[in-house]
Amino acid sequence: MIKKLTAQDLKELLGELRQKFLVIAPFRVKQGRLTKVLYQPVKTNDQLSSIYFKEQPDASPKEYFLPRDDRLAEETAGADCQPEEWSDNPRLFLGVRSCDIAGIELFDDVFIENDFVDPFYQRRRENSLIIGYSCQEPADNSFCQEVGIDPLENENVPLMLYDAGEGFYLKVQDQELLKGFEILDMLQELPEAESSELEEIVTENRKNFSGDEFSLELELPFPEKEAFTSVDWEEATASCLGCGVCTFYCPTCFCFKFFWEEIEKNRAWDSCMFSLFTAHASGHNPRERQDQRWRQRLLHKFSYHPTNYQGSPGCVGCGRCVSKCPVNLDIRKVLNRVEKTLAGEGVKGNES
Amino acid sequence: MANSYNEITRELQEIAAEVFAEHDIKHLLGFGRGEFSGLTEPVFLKKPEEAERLIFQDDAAPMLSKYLLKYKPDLQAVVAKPCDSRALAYYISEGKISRDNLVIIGINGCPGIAGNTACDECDTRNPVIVDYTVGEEMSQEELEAELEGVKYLLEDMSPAERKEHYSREFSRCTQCYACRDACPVCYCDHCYVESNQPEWLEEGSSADKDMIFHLMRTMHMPGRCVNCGACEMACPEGIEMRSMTTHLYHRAKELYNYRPGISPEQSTLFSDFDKEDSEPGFLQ
Repeated sequence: MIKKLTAQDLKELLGELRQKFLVIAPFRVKQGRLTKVLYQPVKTNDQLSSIYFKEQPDASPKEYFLPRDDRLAEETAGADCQPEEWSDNPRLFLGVRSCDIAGIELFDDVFIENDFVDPFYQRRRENSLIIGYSCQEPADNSFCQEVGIDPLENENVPLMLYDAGEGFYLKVQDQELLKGFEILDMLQELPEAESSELEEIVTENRKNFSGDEFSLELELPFPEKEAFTSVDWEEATASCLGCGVCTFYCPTCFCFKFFWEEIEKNRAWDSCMFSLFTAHASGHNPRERQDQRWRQRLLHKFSYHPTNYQGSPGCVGCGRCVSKCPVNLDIRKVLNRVEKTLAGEGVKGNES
Repeated sequence: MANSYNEITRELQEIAAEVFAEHDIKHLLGFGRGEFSGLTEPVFLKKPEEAERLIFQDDAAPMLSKYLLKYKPDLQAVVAKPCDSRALAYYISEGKISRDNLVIIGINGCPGIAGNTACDECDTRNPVIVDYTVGEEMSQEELEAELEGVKYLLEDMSPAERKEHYSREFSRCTQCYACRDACPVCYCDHCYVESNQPEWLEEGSSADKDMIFHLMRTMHMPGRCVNCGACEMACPEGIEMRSMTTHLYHRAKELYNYRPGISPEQSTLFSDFDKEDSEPGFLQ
């Protein structure tokens, strides 16, 4: 089912949805010398006209699923606590692009596994409805197609929004899931569109995605041992300053640390790029140097994660780690070094 | 007058070849263009043939001096903006690196970095120590004319207004520590951030803790900050943290006529303490 909407229709639809959902959408926000696009909760209907779809948001919606600071439990309370602010409020994320959808799917793999379920993540995830957004042109430094992500179409979300210049198309992809959120009735009233109209737009936009200079030839997972030992990691990552920007902005980096604040148990984002990440109480640090930390970050995404999750990449190619890096250290350059080195070693991809 | 980026780039490529011919260096640190991103990034050149990779553009924000400490005592060549040269002079004055281990290619009449507010109030447009230079020197008269009437960030604000500004700015901090890591004079082997015995900075993020991090970093900065703006350029949240360090920089200049990194022979601000020095307190 495909619906055609004017900008006004979309606003009215969102206005109605706001009665049921906390709507979280991308907005342009001024931050010091920067103007950024960030996901923010819509607080009034007036704000709906300012929703901004034109650029890839500067940050993925990661913090809404894994907050930077997360209170987990109180020592005296025994069982895990369930903070009220996220307990029963369904959330609707509007305009999430394929890279960020893939990031959330990766979290699902990790945090809602058979043997291990993170109830905090699960509650937030199950309370969230995602409306995807079809990219019109590649974001700076992105390479999503090289890790098998289609920036234009995404079947893994129940609703997908397409910008048609004048107005939008909304594709309903999973009616079953929408029933649970009771929004089908609202959509029924909107005019239907032919699928050929939408296909034309997608085909036209797809032409903008053909010019990737970077290509990833090596199949996943990268051969762990060869990559670990044979690549000159220091040469490839010499300019790394050791800050946490790449990991904090990464839609798939999920590492966290625990700490106590009086009787509260908390977790907060951590980063494998920090020296403390692997520091032992004895003073020994198995990753003493920054290039070893870089090796960990890259191989986690391209070797360890795919090994543990059926070949699924641990990187969604959004390009934020490159754009945000204070020294523009480019993961594509490092991947390129890995590929060249392994080609020299005669290691082929894991042919399937 | 300030030189053009293209002219500086052209001269850098010529001089790099000379440097390789005249010195047995481990590498030449400069700026190059990212293979895929097209963005300016630090490069470590190993061979004279690579000289043509050198560029200088208005996004050459990183401070290359930062990398030198990692590879000392090997002989290294470095392309130094004037602010970078001051960081180097400061390193030498503190015994962090030996002058003999450095080949410095200084950029005269630096045209500055786009979006870096430090460049608007820059008082060092020519490098302070060099072995080679590119570009024409900028004259003192010209520099003074450019600085005429320039106010530093928040210069006219009251302490209460400044506090309000900092609270708002630091509320965006994610504790990624890019500011510290990009700062050329944040070179401690063991930063207080990473100390858990004692734990100077508690785990977790909150407005208070973010403020503590920045205040503690700032308290280490008087007499060391060369006012390069790298901290602010590195911050992905656009936090105007430089407004704090520049205040200290200018207070040290006004009160003690002290500017860090002006000469390798210079004493540090605290080691040339005189009992006649005024003591107004830095955060007033």
